[in-house]
Amino acid sequence: MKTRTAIPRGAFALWAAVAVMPLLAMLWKSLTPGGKLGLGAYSTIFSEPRAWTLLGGTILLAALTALISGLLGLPLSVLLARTDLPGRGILLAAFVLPLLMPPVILAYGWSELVVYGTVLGVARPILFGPAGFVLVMGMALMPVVVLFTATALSKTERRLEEAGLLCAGRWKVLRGITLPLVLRPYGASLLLVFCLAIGEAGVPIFLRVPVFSVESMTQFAAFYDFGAAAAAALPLLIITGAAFAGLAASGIREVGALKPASLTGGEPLFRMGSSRSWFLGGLWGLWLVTAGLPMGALLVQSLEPSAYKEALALAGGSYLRSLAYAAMGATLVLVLGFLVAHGLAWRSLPRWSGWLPLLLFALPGPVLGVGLIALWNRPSTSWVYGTPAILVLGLLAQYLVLGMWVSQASLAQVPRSLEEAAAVSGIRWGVRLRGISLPLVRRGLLAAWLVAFLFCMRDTGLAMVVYPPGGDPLPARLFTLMANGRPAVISAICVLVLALSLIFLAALAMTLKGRHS
Amino acid sequence: MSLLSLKSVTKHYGARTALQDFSLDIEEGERVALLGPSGCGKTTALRLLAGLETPDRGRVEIGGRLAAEDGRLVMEPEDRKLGMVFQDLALWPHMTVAGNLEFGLKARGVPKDRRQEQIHAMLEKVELLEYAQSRPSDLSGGQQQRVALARALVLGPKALLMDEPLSSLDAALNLRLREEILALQRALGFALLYVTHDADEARAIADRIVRMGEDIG
Repeated sequence: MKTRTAIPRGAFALWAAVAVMPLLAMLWKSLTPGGKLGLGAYSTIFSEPRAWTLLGGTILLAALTALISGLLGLPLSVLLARTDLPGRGILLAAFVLPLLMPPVILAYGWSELVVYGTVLGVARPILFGPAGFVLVMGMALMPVVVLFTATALSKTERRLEEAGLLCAGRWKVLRGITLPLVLRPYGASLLLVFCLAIGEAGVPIFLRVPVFSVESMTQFAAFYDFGAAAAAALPLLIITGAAFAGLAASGIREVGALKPASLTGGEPLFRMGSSRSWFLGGLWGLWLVTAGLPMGALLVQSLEPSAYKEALALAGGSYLRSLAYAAMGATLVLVLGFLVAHGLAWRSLPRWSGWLPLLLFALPGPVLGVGLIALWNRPSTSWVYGTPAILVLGLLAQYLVLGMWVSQASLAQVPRSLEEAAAVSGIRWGVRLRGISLPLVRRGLLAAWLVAFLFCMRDTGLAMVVYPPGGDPLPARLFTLMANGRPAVISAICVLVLALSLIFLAALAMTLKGRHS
Repeated sequence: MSLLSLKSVTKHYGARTALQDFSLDIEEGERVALLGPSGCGKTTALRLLAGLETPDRGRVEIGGRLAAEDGRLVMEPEDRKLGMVFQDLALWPHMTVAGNLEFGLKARGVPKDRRQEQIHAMLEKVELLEYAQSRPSDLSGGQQQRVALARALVLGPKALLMDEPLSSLDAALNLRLREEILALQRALGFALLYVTHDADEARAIADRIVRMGEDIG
């Protein structure tokens, strides 16, 4: 096999082993409770009506989350991508910010806003219930809809709209031509939001909403019934798989078509004219309500004397560990993600291999976590199970798609003929990669690392299930403190996470700006 | 009074000047070719008339009415009642052939039965009736070309703007479609503004050729 084929295939096989083996191990464990083959673990869980009610409730909550994200995300995407509103880049960054932090931080911010005794206090019973879950998750995941849809809108062929403008008004063109053209990426984003909402564990635990992802964690953490934990995780795996079958059947031929990219310039479909300031005010108002208020509440709450000092004393170690885990995870995601993207671009990997990383991205973190424990929790592999390696492997399994997507977007900017010219000149694959492709996409690779780092940092589902003894990452420490810590200190920890997200978002924006200029 | 008129228009794209102080008048039923090399501003002139761009300076008139002036768009593209065939055709991939023709008619409030009649008649004219329910992607290059032409003409425009519509076709198909365009123009009587860089094509199509120089931008 030639090097140019072997290395991308090897990279994909390595990742697939890291990602798929835990799921197979989990399946095996669920089928062998007490060491004997059987369906006992499943019958124990699913003979109880509560399990079915819980599963139905989880699906309903995830669907409502997708609905809220979709209803708000679509008009927002049109305003950001197809109008001439000033400062759309900053608005986009502001709306994307909630996606870059653990959703439980938003939930905590809201809980600080609706404390008893305030005007908003009447909303407290709503927040700590299913409606609160839908609202918090809807706001936290709306950026997924915006990123997918706004990107697709900005990439829409302008000629198709212009041909429509010759015979119809702008609203009719939007409804009849523009929106149908982005229906698939929009639908795909809703499916992804649905999957991510199903897999969320931090928010339901904090808001005390019973959902299925928490059930799996409870079986493991509270009862240490691993067979039951694995059996409880399986329905979520099946639901995610079914959602992806729907995505594949929707006619999107390759996953690269969905990759988020920056908004490009070009002629807007709508010129806002004198209503510009109304729309701008409305958009910033929406941001304030969906993200600004809870973040502001955290900031105000954290301003108590010595809150930050105490936060660093209590969670400084976890903060640094999270940074280290995220950096290691992002580096692996970048290296393997780039090689897989290169393999896909040069057809040395089949198209379907681009789908598997997306499936793992949408898989509930606790499910993957239970799988990782099923695979690595044995004496011979304690060098993985008892060290940060288990969490880093989990991050690689879950977030490879991000490294792959951003690398694909960067590689698409490099004409194929550049590498071809080197190939006909007799230059080997490795040298071509080092000498031509890598230098041309280095900014894109930096962006890929930053995106992967941000997602590894925000990860809650995995981080709460798998971490080495004495090596708890920030989300795990945060949950411990939320149970008995001082609100000002918890808010200070949240603000520190928020500040880090802002710094990395700014770095990402600068990298992308440099790439496009 | 001219049907289409550009009066001393200038258009810049950033630092690049696409058109400088350019004027053009087209009368009803006239066939005019804009001939010139790539980048000389032919397409920009077409887009200014269509209302897809606004001149930085100068004036655009449609049927004697002010359509745009000095950076200000007065008449929206859909109100100019012009037809246009784009270089890349811009067929709507999510609609059938009939759907591509129907969209504009529906937007103008034509009742359903009349829409069907008009679509039927136009597809018959361009010999595509049997492909009414096909997607553009299922058609050959020449058939797609005819769909684009039919979509522009079904609305009964007074003028048709064509932006190098035949440039991507082989010589035989190019000649055949020229004939078809001419036949349709004679039958329907619309004014034709045809952009090309091919002098033979310009001579075959137009009864007046406007040459645009390289020095314009």
